[in-house]
Amino acid sequence: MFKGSFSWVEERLGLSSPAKRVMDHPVPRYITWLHCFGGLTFFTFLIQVTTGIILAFFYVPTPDHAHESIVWFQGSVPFGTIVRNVHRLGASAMVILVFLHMVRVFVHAAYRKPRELNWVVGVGLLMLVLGFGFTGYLLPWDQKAYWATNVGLNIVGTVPVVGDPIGNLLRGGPTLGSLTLLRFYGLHVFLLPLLTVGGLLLHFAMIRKQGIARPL
Amino acid sequence: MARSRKEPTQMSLPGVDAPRAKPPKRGGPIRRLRSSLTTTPMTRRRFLEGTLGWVTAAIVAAVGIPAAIAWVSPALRKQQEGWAPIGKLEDPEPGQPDLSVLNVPIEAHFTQFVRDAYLEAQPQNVAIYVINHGDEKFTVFDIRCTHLGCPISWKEEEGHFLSPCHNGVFDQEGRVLGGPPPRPLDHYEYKVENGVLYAGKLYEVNDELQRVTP
Repeated sequence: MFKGSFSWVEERLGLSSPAKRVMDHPVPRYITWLHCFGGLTFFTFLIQVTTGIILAFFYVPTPDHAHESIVWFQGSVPFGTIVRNVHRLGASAMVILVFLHMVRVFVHAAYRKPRELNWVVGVGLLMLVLGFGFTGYLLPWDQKAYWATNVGLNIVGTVPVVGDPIGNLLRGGPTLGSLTLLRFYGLHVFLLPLLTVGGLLLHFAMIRKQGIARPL
Repeated sequence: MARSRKEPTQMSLPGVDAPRAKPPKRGGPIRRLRSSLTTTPMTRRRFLEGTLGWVTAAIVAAVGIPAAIAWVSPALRKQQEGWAPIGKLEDPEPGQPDLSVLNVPIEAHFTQFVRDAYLEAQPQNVAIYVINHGDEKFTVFDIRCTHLGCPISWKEEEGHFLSPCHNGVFDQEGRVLGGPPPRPLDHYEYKVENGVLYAGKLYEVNDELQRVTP
């Protein structure tokens, strides 16, 4: 059906051979099922992006309507419950998978030379995933979210010297309120995704360049 | 590194390069699928490619269909119905229009309580023109011009409604006399209960002033 359009584009841009080089690359024989955790983490990331975009069309990051908007989304929008719960459970799945991926790389000692830089980028991505979890947890704006964030920010405050300024920066002042919600929302939907996509590109490019580590 | 990493070469699998038997006739999609499945030898690579493709499609559907339906659903919301009081027919309260004047368009308004998604019912002020034909017969016009929604106003001397934006002109029955409006003025359903006039659902009429929207 689309053969004509495909060949029209192909004739002009010749994309199929570079695409083949990117997609159709051989995988070494020594990989195991344990090597899947990184890819699975990326897969959950894609699910989080999809469901997160839908949620962004219905969520309101203000204290007076945040919770109402989620209750309404789950109660009145078709498939709303599914979309939100996939996002919620996907977040937990992503943290678990990223942890398993890290354990596998550690146990296989795949972080050693020449792959130290990729380990560093990976740890950065781990922090971003945890950041997604922490900022996303506040957004439903219920009792659990409020007090969990309160505790989390108080923990930040216990860091010597820089703790209080960083806590105030995240909180948007000395008290947890509407600005905290907006800050967490901004981090959750704009800043962290941008950084994560950048980190993922680096992570994948380095894997391509260096190949998958040989078994011990 | 001393050892040079060699890229594994493309595997040569039996049957992959075998010439495909041309299907006898280009039938419908099911026929073509069946003939391609039966005439091309099934190789390990082809099986895995197919499985990967279908599993990917299933995952995309499982995530994408709920997401797409959730995203589209607000477009399918129905207009809310309900009766809103316009005013008393006799002895209007101070500041309220006198609805007992016969056969002259009277500017009035009513308050509609609309639930706006997650927001609780919000009062919404709706401006209208009411014409009392006597004997509890009324015409309740929506004030918005049917062209682009500018508020019309009644011109007493000329005896017509005028929309200020593009000079849309309507007669007292709401028919288009001139300008760009595509259809006569929209009407509200009305009822009279205990001497109070109520407005209901908004509907459109055709050029013969017959109701077209259900």
